[in-house]
Amino acid sequence: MTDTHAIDIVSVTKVYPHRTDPVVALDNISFSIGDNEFFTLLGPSGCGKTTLLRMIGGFEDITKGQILLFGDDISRLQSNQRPVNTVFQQYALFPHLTVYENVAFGLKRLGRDTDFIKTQTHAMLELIRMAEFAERKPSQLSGGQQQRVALARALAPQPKVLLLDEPLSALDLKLRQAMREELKEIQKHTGITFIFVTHDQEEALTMSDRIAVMSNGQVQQIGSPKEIYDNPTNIFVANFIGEANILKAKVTGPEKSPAKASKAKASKAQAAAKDQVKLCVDLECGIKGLNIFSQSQFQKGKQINVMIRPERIQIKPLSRGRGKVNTVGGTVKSISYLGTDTQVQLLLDDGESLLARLQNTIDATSSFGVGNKVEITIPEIAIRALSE
Amino acid sequence: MAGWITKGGNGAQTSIVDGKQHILLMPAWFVIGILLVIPVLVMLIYSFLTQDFRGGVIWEFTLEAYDQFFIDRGLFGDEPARIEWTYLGIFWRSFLQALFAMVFCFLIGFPTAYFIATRAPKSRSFWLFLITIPYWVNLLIRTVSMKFLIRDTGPLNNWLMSWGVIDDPISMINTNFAIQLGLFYSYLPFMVLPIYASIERYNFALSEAAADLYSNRWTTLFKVVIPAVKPGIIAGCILVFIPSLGAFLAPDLLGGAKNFMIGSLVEEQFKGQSGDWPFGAAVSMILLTIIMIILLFYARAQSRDNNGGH
Ligand SMILES: Nc1ncnc2c1ncn2[C@@H]1O[C@H](COP(=O)(O)OP(=O)(O)O)[C@@H](O)[C@H]1O
Ligand SMILES: [Mg+2]
Repeated sequence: MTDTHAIDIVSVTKVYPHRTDPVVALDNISFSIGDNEFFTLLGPSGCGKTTLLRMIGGFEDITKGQILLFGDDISRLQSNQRPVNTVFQQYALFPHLTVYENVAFGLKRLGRDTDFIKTQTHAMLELIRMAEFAERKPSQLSGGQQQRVALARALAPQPKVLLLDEPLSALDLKLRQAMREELKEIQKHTGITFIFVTHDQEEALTMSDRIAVMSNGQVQQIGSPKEIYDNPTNIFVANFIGEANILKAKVTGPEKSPAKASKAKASKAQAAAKDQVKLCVDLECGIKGLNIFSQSQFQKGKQINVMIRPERIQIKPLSRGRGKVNTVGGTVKSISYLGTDTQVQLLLDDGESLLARLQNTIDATSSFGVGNKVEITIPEIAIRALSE
Repeated sequence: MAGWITKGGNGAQTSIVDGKQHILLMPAWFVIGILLVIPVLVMLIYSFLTQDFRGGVIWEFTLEAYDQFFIDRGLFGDEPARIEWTYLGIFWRSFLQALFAMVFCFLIGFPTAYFIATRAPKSRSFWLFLITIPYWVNLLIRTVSMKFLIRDTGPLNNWLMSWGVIDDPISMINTNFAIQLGLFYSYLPFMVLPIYASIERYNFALSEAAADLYSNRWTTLFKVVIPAVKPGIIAGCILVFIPSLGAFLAPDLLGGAKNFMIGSLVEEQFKGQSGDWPFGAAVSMILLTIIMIILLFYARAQSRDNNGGH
């Protein structure tokens, strides 16, 4: 290992004790977070994100395992001894102190000299553009302003790692989107490692360098937003991030020579999906001999699930032309207009249903209506095999 | 955020009251008018009347009662006027006693309230129940039992002697200590309950935030917890201080004659044939005035606090 990680989670288990039914909130998880990374813990409510964050912050003890901060074991340190700060979900600003006093609080406890406290606090207030609110009390601020003060308060002591527990969830949509940009900016500007908790996949995709998708106290997949969206490893990740069609398929063997797909296209896709193998599968809906990407090797004859994103599916009115590659017949069940795109619910001829999303480009005309027979093209390059 | 939620609540309340304000407020006006204002007015008037020597008053207006309180004209009233220290002394002693009672109640009451408020929600009511059990018994009976408990031959001294902590009984009856004990025991729940209510509403994430920002337990307590629950503490202090100031059972029964307090002084004036009603009324009015001034200062400080810090 050339550079040390900001955080190493080493075989960490958390059990909340209870007389009758103890809760296993985290089940033997291990991963590392790099320095300067914007790292997101993403998962549905109850999957253990907050628990993990609270353990890094020192608010919850570790049942088993270790947490390292730049190589040092911090598992036994009290939270006031960890050079890590938290932006709490409901902000937890001190109501009796002014904005300035809130931001200066940590520096004062650290016993920094008064001049430094002054300049640092003012610098933080400038950073969040709240300098003119320095003398206000938290109750005199809007939700978004309180949020920024909470951020400044946690950044002021210059922690090695900043923990953020769903910091945007209490804000309205517009503000939330603006704050995403701002948080990302601040993270780049300060160079502090951010560990960000959210259940909102869009938030995770737009902000993160890397995402850990969690469910049921386990990490399902870790990767960049693109990796996770394009190459989900299992059904949970595929469904949780964006929308996904899950289809049944049968492995017929290793990759066949890519006769039909153009060479350039294939190699580009190859580059995007490193560490992947290619399989040849038959879809249950009738398309045969597809060469698709997979993260793991499967035996010939095995039944697997494959995934295709709705926006990768193409729909055309039924025609008699030749060269219908990777195409099946189906019926349009419903069409919903969503502004930027149109969502089409399809029923394949074999009875499976499929979701497609067509972008509403400037010259888009709906060449089919509800009840029409259409032909549906599923490009093999967009199909991914999923593990169990 | 919490700010405008509260404001919204107030707004709703106002609109409900607006229409039928007078009808809805009738019971409140009745209680305040009949049970509070009228008796105080009666007292105020009596304090300016002339004493009838068999108790009661003669309807002749005079400042005699106040004169007696503040000014010393010698035994026969013919010496040059000097400041009368006797009653001011009693007031001063009472203030000190009430202040100590308040401080002791706080020192014990705050940790107690904190302990109860941090139990699991289900067991909190049990602990509150325990705190209030003794108060199902009449104050007089409790004070008398206290007297039995701490007298020279009482159980407390017996235990201390049998454990060899002391050789001779400590005489506690008729001391300031006994009065303190009595006041403390009488008014402890008035300290515990409002503080408990504040701590129960306290957002413990604030304590976590303080720890996150490098505070140890003590700095968290003094810099965050106590300021945040200050309204409850102040309410508790007022609720202990004011009745302690006018208390007469504890001073009478446990303090004896030489540790006279305001409450006993007033009680004396209205008891039996020897009482002096106008003087008792005047002492009450002076006490009331002082308390009002204290509360007024507190209210002023409070509103300054709320209007945007410093
Ligand atoms: N203090 C606690 N006592 C018992 N169980 C808890 C406690 N905190 C969390 N849990 C349980 O642990 C699991 C993970 O919770 P949490 O970390 O809060 O999830 P998330 O933040 O992902 O929503 C949940 O099943 C939750 O009910
Ligand atoms: Mg959570």
